[in-house]
This record gives sequence, C-alpha cells and structure tokens, in this order.
Amino acid sequence: MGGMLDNAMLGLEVALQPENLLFCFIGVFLGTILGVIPGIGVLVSISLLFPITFHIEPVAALVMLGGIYYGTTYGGSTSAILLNVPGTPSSAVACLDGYPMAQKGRAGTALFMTTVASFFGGTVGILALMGFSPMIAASALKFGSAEYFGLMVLGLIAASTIASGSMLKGIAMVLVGILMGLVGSDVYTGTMRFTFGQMALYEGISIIALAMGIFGISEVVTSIRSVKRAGAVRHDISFRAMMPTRSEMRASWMPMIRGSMIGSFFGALPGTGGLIASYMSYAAEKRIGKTETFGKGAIQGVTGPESANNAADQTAFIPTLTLGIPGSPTMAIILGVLIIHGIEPGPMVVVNQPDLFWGLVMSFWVGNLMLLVLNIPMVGVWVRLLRIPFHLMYPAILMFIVMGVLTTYNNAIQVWVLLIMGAFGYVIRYLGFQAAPLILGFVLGPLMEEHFRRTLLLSGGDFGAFLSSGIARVCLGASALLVLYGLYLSWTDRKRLAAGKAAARG
Amino acid sequence: MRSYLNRDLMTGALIFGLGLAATLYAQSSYQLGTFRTPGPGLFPTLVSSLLTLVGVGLLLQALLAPVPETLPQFETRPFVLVMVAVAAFAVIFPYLGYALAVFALSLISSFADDQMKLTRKLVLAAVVTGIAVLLFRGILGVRLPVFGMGGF
Repeated sequence: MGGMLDNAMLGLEVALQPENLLFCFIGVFLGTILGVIPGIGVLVSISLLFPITFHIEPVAALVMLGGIYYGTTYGGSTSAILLNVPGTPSSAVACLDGYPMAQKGRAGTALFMTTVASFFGGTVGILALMGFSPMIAASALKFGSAEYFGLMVLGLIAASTIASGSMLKGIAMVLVGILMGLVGSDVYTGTMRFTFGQMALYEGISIIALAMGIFGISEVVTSIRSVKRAGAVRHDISFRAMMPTRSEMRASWMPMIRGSMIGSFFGALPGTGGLIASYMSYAAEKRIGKTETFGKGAIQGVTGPESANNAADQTAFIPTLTLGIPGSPTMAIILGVLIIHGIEPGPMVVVNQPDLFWGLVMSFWVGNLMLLVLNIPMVGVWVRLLRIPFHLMYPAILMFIVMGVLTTYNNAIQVWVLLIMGAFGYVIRYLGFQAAPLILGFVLGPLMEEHFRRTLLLSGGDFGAFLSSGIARVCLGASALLVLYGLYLSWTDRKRLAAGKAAARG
Repeated sequence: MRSYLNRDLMTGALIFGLGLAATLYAQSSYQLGTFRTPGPGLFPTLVSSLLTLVGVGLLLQALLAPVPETLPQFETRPFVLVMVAVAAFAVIFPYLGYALAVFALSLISSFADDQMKLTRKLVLAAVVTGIAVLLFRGILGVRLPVFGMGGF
C-alpha cells in the first residue's frame, strides 16, 4: 500500500502544476457546458475540443480530455433532471427519478445530490483505477501478440453484442470500422490500401474528421427537428433549495456506495460502461428500496445510478491505459489522441511514464473536486443555457465542428472527408446501426492487423498460435460464446416482435 | 401482403454489397502473401469476407423473421441542407477565407429549421461568424486566412 501512496503523491505533484490545473478546469468547464446541451454527447464534445490539445503538452492534453469526458457526463445529468432530455445517452437513467423530483420542485436538491453522488462515485472509481492498474499492467508486460489479438477480439465482440441492439449489425459496424482503419499505407510494405488514388487518404482517414462526421454532423441532423427546449418551468435553484433534507441524505448513502461498486465493475469491462452501470444500479436500488416511490422522484433513483455512472467513467480507463485496449468509443477516441501525441498506451506507459499515468489519475480526482465546487454555484447558469432554443445553437455547433477539422489539418480536403463521413454516419444511423462499434473497430483495426501478422510471422503460419496461451484461449472462447449468445438473443427478439406484429394485426 | 423491400433488407443488402466489393477489391489489388509471410492483402480480405458473411446473415434474418419497422423517418431537409452547408464551406474557404465560409455555412444550415425569418437568420450567421473569427483568430491565434487566399 505504501507504493500506492507514493504513486498518489507523485500524481498529485503533476496534477497540481498550474498548467495542468488550468487545463483540467477548462476541460471540466467546457465539458459540462457541452454536456448540458442536448444533442452533444461525450464523443462530440471530445472531438470538438481535442484540436485544442495539439497545442499543449501531452499530460495537460490528457488531463483536459479527461475533464471534458467526466464533465460532459455530469452536464448530461443536468439536462436530464431539468428537461427530461438526457444531455448524453448515459444520463438517460437520471430522467427516471430526477425529472419527477424537478416537477415536485426539488430540482435544486436533485442537482446538488447528483453532484455529490458523482463526486463519490468518481472517487471510488479512481481508487479502483489506482489499485488495479499496476497489477494489470504488470501481468500485461508478459503478453505477446496472440494475447493482444485475443483481447482485442473479445473487446470488439463485447462492444458490439452488449451495447447495440442487434448482434449482426454491431459486428458489421466493427468490421466496417476495421476496414476504414486500414485505409492508407500499410506499415510493413508501404502499399496504399483503399485510397483509390486520393492523396487525402494516404495517411489514413483522420480520426477527427471521422468522429466529428459520424457523431457530430449526424447528431446535429437528427436533433434539428427533435430537440425540445426547457419550457417556462421555473426551478427554485437557490442554495437553500438545494440542501437535501436529513432523510434524503440518509436514504442516499447506501445507494451511492452500492452504485459506486456496480459502476467500478462495469466500467472496467469492455463493451459496457456508464449507461449499463447506471441501469444496473437503478435496478438494484429498485429491488432493495421501497418500490412505490421509484419513478416518482425517489432520491435513491438519482444518487445510485449517478455514482455508478461516474465510477464507470473512471474505471473505463483501466483497460485503455494498462492494455491499450479501449472498452468504449470514448476511450477509443482518447486512445487515438494519445497515439497522435506519440504515446502508445499499454503497460509500458504505467511502468515507464509513471508521472504521466499517475498525474492523469490524480487529475481525475482534482477534476471531480472541481466539478463539485464549480457546479453548485453554476446550476443557475446551466438552467439558463437550457432555455436557448436549439435552432439558434446548431449553426454554431456546425461551425465548431467544421472549424475544428479545418484547424487540425489546415486543409480544406479534410472538410470534404468530414462531409462524406457525416453523410455516411447519418445513413447508417437511419438504417439502425450504432456508430460506437465502428469507431472502436477503426481505432483497433490497425493494431489488430499488426498483432495478427506478427503472430503468424512468429509461428510460421500456424493458426494454432492464436490459441497458444491460456489468456488467448479464454478471450477467443468467450468471444465465440458471446457471438452465439448474441445471435440467439437477437433471433428470439425478432421472433417475439414478429409475433407481436401478427397479434396486433389480429 | 408482405413487403420484402423494407429497411432491414436494404441494410442486409448494403452490408453484403460492401463486404463483397471490399473482398474482391482487396484480394485482387493487394498481395495476399502466405500465412507464413502475410502480405498487405491478407487481413483486409479476411475482414471483408467476414463482412460479406454478416451481410448474408442480415439478409437471412430480414427474410426469415421480418419485424415491424420502428426506426425514425429520414430527416431529408436537415440532412440535405447540412450537407450543402458543409460543402459550401469547403468550396468557399480556399478562395475567400473562413469568415465568409463560416457565414455561408451558418446561413445555409439555418434553413434546415424554419422557425426564423430571413433577417434573423442573417443576424445569426453574422454572430456565428463573429464568434469564429474572435475565437480562432483572436484567442487561439490560428494562422488561417480569415479573408481571401493568403495573408490576413
């Protein structure tokens, strides 16, 4: 344990440097604003803001991205509570009891307790991150290409099975993502692949144009006619109104503790994350607590899932930073940014760059503290922000997207790439595909190919090498089971839906 | 009466087509190598063959277990206008700089929603342009032409 304390001190030293503090604040602040605005999720806000990170040091850049990430999650809950519109998908659960609380005039309390629960959940998640990362990194140092390949397959399969409705559609998106990731020159031979003679594609499809197009542009197109805005409902958000009653405090502690545990667990698993963790926590609280108040403004229904959500946000960094394998699309983008900054995430980062790793971890904690301090006085501002109609906001959002791409590459060709990705993103969304597995495939594709080829090269073309170690066998076996289970589930689902349709026709 | 030409089927056909095209393209254009020494074509060919298979699966699923459509409508007007707006930006920027490009982007995209009069749309576009120049030129100091091709 002494080692952990030393690491924490080292991390705090880095996190408290004025520059890092400043960027942490900027990240948290901008993240919260963007999270509050419906139609901008974590992915869009990270894609929007990460061109700025190219101008600063890698540590500060990461600290800022982390801040944007959990700041957005936090902001998302605010609009869920006040508007019944989740600002980010993972805050959908906050609508269930948060909005009824707001209707009962307890919006201030709900927001305050959300802040407290987020901070608590975040802290537990960070402790889990600190405790488990060095262990995982230490064992990951022994991993070879076959193990990494297996882990990546498992991560991608899990992401496409659990997160999206249809197994086959999820896998299709992963595969399309991998192919898109392969565009550009081949690392081994320099052969240009899938570039069709376009110079703009020689270095591959740029991750920013891809993410902004697929998430940003298509999100704006979807939201233009569908986003509701805050009505004339007046919320009492004075400091007095925010204070929870003593019984509300008592009712919140255990859900927060349980929620944090649930969140820490699901956050670290590939393919799951904040949304699933918060649903799990909600279900658990509903089973434990008095059910009649749930859905009508039970404080447990807000604090439990909110802790789970934020704990999951933190532990999601465990596989990303220790193995270099992102479990969620947000982590995939963060991984992409790290690679652009010249950091190849993996066990070596934890071992060789402890200042970066622990600095980042401790900055999460500092950032969560900032959220707590920042948001209590700022709640009134968020409420006013929510009253701005979306039709005044989306031209500015588009401007940020396009200018973000332009200033990153200084080249108008990338705006065309953005346009194509945006159109593609909207069409696949219309066809019922999820974009999350695509972005995971996109980031992992080139890494997977490298490990795939290296494994074959080392084994002399023997495919048995992919199953040579216990870890690889477990990963590939679990992937196969997940695929079968997912296929079975979606098949029975369809049968049920079809039967429902037949019954409805009568 | 059952219509087979639904969105599910289109989806399956799209994935199948994409997979098949990519498989044929990859295996004919790039060297496959051997398993012992994999070439640049091997992995893309494997991945796109898998994609073709998934497409077959989606097609089978759509034909054997058709389900009612629950997906949202295609937002034609916002879609077209946002795309045209971004295209306008990409066309204008290299010649006239980003101030006018942003103005065009905002103005064209604001027609996707018809809640505002033209004068208000113009004001909005001007404000967004102002924000862009102030932020990217003034605060971030980005060295890209605000007006015209070079210089300023």
